[in-house]
Amino acid sequence: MLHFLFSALLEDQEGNRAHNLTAEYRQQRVHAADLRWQSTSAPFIYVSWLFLACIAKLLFTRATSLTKIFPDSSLLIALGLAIGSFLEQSQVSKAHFTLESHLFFLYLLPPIIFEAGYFMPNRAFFKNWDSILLFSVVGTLFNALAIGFSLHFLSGFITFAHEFTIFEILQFSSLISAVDPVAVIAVFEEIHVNDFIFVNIFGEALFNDGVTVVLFNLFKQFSWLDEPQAVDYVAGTASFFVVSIGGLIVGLLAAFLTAILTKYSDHVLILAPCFIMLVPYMGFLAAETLSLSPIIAIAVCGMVMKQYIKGNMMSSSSEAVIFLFLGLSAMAKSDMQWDTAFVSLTILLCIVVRTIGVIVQCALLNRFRGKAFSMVDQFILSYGGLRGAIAFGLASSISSSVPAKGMFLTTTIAVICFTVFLQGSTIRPLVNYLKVETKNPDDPTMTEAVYSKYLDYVIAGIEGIAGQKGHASVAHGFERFNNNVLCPILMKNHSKTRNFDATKIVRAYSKLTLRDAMNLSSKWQNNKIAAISRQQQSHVLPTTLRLPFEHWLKELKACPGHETACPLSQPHMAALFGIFSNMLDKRMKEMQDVLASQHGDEGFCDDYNTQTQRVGPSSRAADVDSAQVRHSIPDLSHFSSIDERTERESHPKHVQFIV
Amino acid sequence: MQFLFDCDCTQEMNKSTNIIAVNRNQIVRLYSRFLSLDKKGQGFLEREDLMNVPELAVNPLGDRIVDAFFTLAGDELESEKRLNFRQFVRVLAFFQPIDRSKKNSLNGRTDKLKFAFIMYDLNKNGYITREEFKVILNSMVGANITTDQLDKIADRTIEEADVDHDGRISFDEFCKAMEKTDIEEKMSIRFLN
Repeated sequence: MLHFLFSALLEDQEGNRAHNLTAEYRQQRVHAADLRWQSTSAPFIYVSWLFLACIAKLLFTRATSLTKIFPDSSLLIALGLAIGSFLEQSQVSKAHFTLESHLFFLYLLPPIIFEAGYFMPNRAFFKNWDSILLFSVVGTLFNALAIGFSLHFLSGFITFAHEFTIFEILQFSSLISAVDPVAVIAVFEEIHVNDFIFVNIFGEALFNDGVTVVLFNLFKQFSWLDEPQAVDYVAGTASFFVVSIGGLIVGLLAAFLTAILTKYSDHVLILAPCFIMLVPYMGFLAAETLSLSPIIAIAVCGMVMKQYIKGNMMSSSSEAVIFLFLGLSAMAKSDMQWDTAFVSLTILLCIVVRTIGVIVQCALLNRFRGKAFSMVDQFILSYGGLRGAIAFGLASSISSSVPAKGMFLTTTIAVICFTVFLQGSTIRPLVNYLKVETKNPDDPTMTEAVYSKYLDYVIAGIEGIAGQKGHASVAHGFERFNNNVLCPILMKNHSKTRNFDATKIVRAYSKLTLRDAMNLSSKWQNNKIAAISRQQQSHVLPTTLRLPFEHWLKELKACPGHETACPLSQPHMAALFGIFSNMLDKRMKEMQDVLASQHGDEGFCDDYNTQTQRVGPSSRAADVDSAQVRHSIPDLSHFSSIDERTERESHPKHVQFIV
Repeated sequence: MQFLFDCDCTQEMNKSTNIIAVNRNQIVRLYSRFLSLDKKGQGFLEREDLMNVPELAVNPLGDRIVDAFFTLAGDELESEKRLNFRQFVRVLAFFQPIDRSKKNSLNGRTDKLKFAFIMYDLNKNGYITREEFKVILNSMVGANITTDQLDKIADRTIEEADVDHDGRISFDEFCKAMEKTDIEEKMSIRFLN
């Protein structure tokens, strides 16, 4: 579908460019400087829109009163609509600001989907692969067919603005029934639902492309045929599997290629990020060339790559641009046709059919799964089925020979606006009202980190005894395969070990220790500051640490048996105390430097839900990376125990000196 | 003969104090599994039989799981180390998904936690000491981290759970530490009918 558009527009652009460059402006006089708008207009305009979208997004983060109600995406669409109508009034040439399908699909979409795949919570994904697959394939299929046939049936009773054949309406229904990953990310990242709901709806949004685009193309091709024959239907059905599985394979290949290339390119550091950007994008384009699913390809590539690569990720502002353009294009299209009956029926059907689909599928899943979908979960899943720019892109690529195209296009925009504005803005209060379990913001305690791994192994073992291949044993089997076969090939410095990946546990430990260290450091800092301020009042004290030392000494003297534990005289003890608080300061500073150097370097979360909920929607907060910090964890347990002893009321049993 | 055995089993099961809702199909399935594990045809399982299960052979906690199985199953006849079918089903029934509406949901959670606890408690004195914990941790992740880090992690985890600061974790402290974890979901296997 896209290559037709792409080639057509490419010719047009080349023609334009040639015209611009060769239209040398014959000037009368020599000018010192010139206005060369013609030669730079096209890229300049695109970049200006990008810039505008980023500024808009920035402004929205400031206007907190508005963003509390409406999600960012809806505000951007509104802004786009406003700007579009303004430009329409002032009769600026439409060519400058319409969102061509190819611009959207080939440039704006890939970074978003790749990043989405990269930040997909892998563990939750693999636990729910069955429900995600069901929702994205069967659910979308059901939605498309149900909406299409219902509309076709209703067109017998109600006259719409335009007539349409069965295949045309099925084309429309297949594009309108797809949940959009961009819209879902944009709305759900602000409301922090628990991983379970998020991964289900997000996984569905990502993988239903395999079905949507196939159906769309299928019905498009069918509408051209006069007499669809059996072989056409067979080929159509086969194309589902080919497209989805083909996309999957392309994604896996791209991921492995990137991993291997980055493994061997560590001598030339600049190449690694280049590969990470280029290879997935090439995979996307390759999939599109082979008429496989490019979205699945690049999403799978991102997900798989995560394990084997730690690199810098570009933060994408494409999301903002997409929504802005959506609003703009809505105004710009001249062939719009508003048909109230059609629009309202479509919206109604979308909601109703989706709800029915979700309920039926969840009922089926609950019979076979451990983790059940509660009523609240099902409600959020059906309510969170937002439509977005992908539907719009597909709608604008419907061939103009279809008479109802204008009506379809308008309805698509209306549905998108409805879902994004209404559902997007009401979903947050609903989530709060229904007390949906939100993502636990606390860092995992050591207990949880250790025991979750432990329980997985236990269950895998019990499943083995019971002779059943359940989730845990499949996950365990994959983990072993990954460790023994894939990681040595794809990662550098990975040795085959019989035992398994401890990074989560070590990371949790590092995080907690650092947190304690920071707390400790700030306590000491406060003590020092207090001491300094006291020193300035009385000039008797020789060192700034005198006061805390005295306090500590008093505690020590108060506890029984201290003479035997601390045989040193007081001046010696003071000196020792001074030495080791200096050491502590130095160590603290070191660790703070390590932590500071993590910012923007290797530190980032590899899970979409955790990283977005830390600071804000689109900023990347640093996370402690275990690989770096592991080697510089100082032995702080003793320090912390001393601090506690000075703080606590109860008498310490003995004091440990670290020299 | 086989079906008679099954009926007896079901009746026995329903009579036992621990109300295990195992239906007839599940019992038939588990019985065929039992028979396939019991290669020598002795009518009971020994440790080697279970250790031969391929999944357990590669599981880092394999031997601990088998040990816990035998301990929980035959707690009256500890020395025997034999597992008959009734005991086999009884232990596996611990891992049934808990129906939260039913009254014995609390029992179910405690049973599951008991299994996890027993795996740690090597000498079966009802407490997990630091050394026992280190052993388990070592078998799970030992090769990837240094002994020093292992010690620290073990210390940290024990510290978090150890409410009365006696340096070891009792069953109650263990339950409390696992409060936040969704045990009912994590430690459940749905036996396919």
